[in-house]
Amino acid sequence: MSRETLRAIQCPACGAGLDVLGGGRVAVMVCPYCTTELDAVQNFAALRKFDGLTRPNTPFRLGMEGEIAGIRHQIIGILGQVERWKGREWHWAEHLLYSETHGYSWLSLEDGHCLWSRRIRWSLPEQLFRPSYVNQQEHRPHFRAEGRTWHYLESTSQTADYVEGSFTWVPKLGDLTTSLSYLADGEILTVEAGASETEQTLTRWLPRAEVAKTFGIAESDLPRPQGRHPAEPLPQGDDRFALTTAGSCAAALLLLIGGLNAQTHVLLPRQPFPLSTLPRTIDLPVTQANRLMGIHLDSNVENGWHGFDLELEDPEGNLVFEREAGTSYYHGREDGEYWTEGDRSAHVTLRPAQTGTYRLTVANGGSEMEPGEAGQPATEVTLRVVEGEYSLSWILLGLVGLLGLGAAGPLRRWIARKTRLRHGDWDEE
Amino acid sequence: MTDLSCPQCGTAQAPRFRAAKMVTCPSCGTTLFLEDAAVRLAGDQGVLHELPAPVRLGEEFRHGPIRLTPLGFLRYDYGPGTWDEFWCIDPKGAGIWLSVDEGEMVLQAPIPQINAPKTSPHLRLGHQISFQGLDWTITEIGTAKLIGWRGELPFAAYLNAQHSYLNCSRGNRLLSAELWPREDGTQGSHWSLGQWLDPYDIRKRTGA
Repeated sequence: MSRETLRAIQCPACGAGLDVLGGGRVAVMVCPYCTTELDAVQNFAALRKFDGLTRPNTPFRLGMEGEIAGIRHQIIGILGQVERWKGREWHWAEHLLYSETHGYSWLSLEDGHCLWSRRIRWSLPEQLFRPSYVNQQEHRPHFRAEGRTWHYLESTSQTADYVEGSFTWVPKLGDLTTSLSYLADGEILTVEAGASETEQTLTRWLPRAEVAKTFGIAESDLPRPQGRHPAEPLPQGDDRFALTTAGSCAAALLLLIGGLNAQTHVLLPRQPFPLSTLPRTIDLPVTQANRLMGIHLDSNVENGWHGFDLELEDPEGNLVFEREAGTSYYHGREDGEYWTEGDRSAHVTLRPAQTGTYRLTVANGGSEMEPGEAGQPATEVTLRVVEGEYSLSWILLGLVGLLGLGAAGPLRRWIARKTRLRHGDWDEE
Repeated sequence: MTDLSCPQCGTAQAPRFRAAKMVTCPSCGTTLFLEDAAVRLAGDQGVLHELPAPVRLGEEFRHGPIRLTPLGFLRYDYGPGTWDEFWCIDPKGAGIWLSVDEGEMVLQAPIPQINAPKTSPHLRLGHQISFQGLDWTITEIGTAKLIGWRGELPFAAYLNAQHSYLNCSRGNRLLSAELWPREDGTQGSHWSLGQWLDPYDIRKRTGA
């Protein structure tokens, strides 16, 4: 903690009144009016003057206070930073924050996004923060730390091009510092390897409106945000609710299937009839009115089509329907590849209006063989009749829908995570 | 504990730490030395008010699995500023020091003298010290003066006592030493191995 006695000084170079900001660890202070660097340890003696500096585009000023993570912080220093790469330049502003209880941290303004960074000291695998190690990897490096998975994001080489206010070290304009950063959900871990130790910082994205409000500026004073920032939180949703709902509905569907299966009743077990025995009449003792009844036929037709005429009468002898059910099957070899086409099965569904003995007549409807192919008309037909059937396609559609509902949140986050990682400089190729 | 009363104002003293050697009378602010269940008046010099810090005297806090209650603190002046050393106890009554300096918090466990690093008296910034098979680089050297205290402490402190200190930071650990010249010309030292705590992860006990 700093001595509380000295609160303001006059700049020895330009005479401007300056508030003494920060704590006892402040090493230098740069006058925002004349950009003269003052020695905060040796009675604010003038050390040197920075000329020709251009203030970064930031609405924040020294002395402004705001609350971040529930802690009051004051802006005590401002740095302009620039990264240059292949003729392009990226500029951003970093604001050194001071809290009497929690020390020093940074509020950065990058592409219109507000980011809060603070120093951390985690036990991390050191090799992951060596550029040479990262460059040797075939796949994007990643590791687990503090309960999160961190994926390599980018390496940055930056220099300071503007300075004002108080700093706990002596800022040097033009010196290049290189750091590597890794991304987890909503957080960036950056490590800058120094001569004696590595400095780790943890960065979180902050909502612009909240930052503007707490520091007493209008959100419109902040530069317009450019796209999404990698540290922006992933889309949140109540996954637990969606998963619970989807799970409950799926369980209900399975119960429904079980219930429907229990009501399925076989009127005619699977039974083959030689074609020579057709036409054939079969009695069907229907016990469930207005429920689906299915008549299933299979033939053994080869490379051709074979039809069957079906006729159904109700218990009172009235004709319910008269229709043709066709079966077909074609196969062959073309350009060395085997192919098949058609369906040897056919089925007819109906809802009997009453219970009682229905009468089904099956007759040979004739066949058509593919000219030039080694085909064979059907020699037998297999019949199976079931009452109390249900439509599986609707149930499957419902299950797919529920699966989609349950997976929507995680899927959205997976896509968002991939999108954020694309902001970095890793190229799988 | 009835014989542990403040000679100045008569308030009964009930230190929460069994081995407390120095307490600040909560009624009149007088410093009391506790010696063999007796109380010796040390006056009101050196008694400080608390400065803003992530932890407060008498309030239990948590940091992950760590649960501690600060009972007293010493304040050291290092020139441009000050830092506090909080004497804390865990739920079993074991004591440990917590250093708090502008949001930098380090929990410091003493290193027995027999295991302490062997160093020369001419250490400089950037020099390396060998400890536990690792090289530790000195990242800070300075001089500190005790300028006050408050609460319960495990030893009697003396105002304006000075010592040198050095810090070696390595990952999430801090190797540090207090150094002072002995009368025989040799150098006395207390070494400790510290674990950094993140002040943003400090959780106060609700209702404490």
